[in-house]
Amino acid sequence: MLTTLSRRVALLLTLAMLSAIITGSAMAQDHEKLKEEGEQFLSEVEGNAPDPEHAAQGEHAGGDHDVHGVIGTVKQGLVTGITAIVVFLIVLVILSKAVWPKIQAGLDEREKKIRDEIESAEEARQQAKDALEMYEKSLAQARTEAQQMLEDAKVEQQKFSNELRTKAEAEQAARNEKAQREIESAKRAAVNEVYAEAATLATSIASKILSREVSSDDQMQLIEEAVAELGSASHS
Amino acid sequence: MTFDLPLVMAKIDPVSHVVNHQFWTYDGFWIWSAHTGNLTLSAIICIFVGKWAANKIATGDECEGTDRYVTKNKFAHMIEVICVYLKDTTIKPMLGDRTNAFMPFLLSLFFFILVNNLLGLVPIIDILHVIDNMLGGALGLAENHAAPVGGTATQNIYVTGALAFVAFLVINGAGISRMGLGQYLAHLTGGAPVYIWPLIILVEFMGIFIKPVALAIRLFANMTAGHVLVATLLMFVGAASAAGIAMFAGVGIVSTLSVIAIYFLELFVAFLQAFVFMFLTAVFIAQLDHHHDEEHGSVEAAH
Repeated sequence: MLTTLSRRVALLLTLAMLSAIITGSAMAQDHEKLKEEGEQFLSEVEGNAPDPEHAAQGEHAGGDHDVHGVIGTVKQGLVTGITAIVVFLIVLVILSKAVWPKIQAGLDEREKKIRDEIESAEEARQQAKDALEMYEKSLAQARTEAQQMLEDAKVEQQKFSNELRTKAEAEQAARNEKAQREIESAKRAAVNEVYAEAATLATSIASKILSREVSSDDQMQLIEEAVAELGSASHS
Repeated sequence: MTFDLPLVMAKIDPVSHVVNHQFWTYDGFWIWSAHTGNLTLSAIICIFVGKWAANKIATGDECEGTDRYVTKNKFAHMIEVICVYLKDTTIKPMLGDRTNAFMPFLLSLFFFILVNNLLGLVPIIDILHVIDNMLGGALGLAENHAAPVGGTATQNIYVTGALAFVAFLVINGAGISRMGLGQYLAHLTGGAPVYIWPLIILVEFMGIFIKPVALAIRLFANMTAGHVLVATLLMFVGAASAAGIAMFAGVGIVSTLSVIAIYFLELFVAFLQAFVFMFLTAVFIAQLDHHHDEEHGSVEAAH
């Protein structure tokens, strides 16, 4: 980098020196001529006062090296001035038609493009934000719903299990009661049967023992005695 | 008579090196001069470089995708930056809604003057004369103090005057079309009480012409001054050559280095003066508006 720069500077200086030498030698070539003119000028100065108009007018015919004023004469400058107007107007018209609108359009289009891009990016961001919000909202809602459902299910289950339990208990109770009743009736039947059997048995035993016709009063008395005996025997 | 340096220097006037050079004259009128050539050359440069840059800056084909909005060349990009800067920071703050109407004129003015100023830094005439000397004066340019192209056109008071004349027409035309002739004339009173109208109207009326004249003289003087300095420094080399090789080398080195430094300054001046001419034209256009005082105030406040 530095070497490139220094090489460039060296090149620049060399070129400048070269051009200075060329210019200098060119001027040196003119020098003799100019020296002569200087002497001539001196003699003029010595001869008579310098003519300012002469000095100002540089447009003497052909190869006259008279000193020009910085501001040329009207004859020197008029056409150049008119040329400047004409040339500038041509430049103005062509640039106004073909260059500035094109550059302006290019810049405007670029600006519009950038503006549009920024706007659409902002819009997209807004959309994404909205979508995210909506998603989060629906997620929260779903969560709430799930919780609700879970709770409902729990309640339902509780209710169902309670029902089941109640029903089972009732059934159980009914079944117990029925069994009790059956036992009771079976017991009663068995007792009745035993009672009848014992009566018959006692009667036959008594008739055998007494070998006589027992009156119905006696028979009744005997039965009751036998039953009382049987009852005490079964209870003991 | 002995060698008399000051007197010779009076004849080897540095000014003679920076003034216009004739090429084709008719009845004393300079029909084609070096400055005419330079004006034409700068017009060609403005048009071709302008068109080239416009193509580079303009939006490209669809097929380029996003890249079509990008300026394709660094130099074109530089031109674009100058255009955008001038528009956004100079023209728009002053002219407001009239920006688009005057931007083409102001930008054309700026670039035309700029190209002329920069062309003035190229020693075309000197190169032509050196070539002519090498050919033994076959072209007859050096001998006749002539050149078809070269010099600095913006260093010619007639050229700067012509540009200032165009600016004068635009400034006042814009003022009249903006305010109407009645208000334009009323503006000459400067809103002053009636009893000082004679004075104010005179001053304002003179101002109408002094503004463009100042434009012309400013550009002319700035361009001339630097170039005379460069010519003077180089002339020392020529003068020193007569005093032996040691003097030639010593003076040559110092003068050359000085000239290089001045050239950098001149590059800056070339841009600055083009800007100042355009800027002041915009200021003068902006001044001739309905709200003259506020407008003027804001322009001053902005700087």
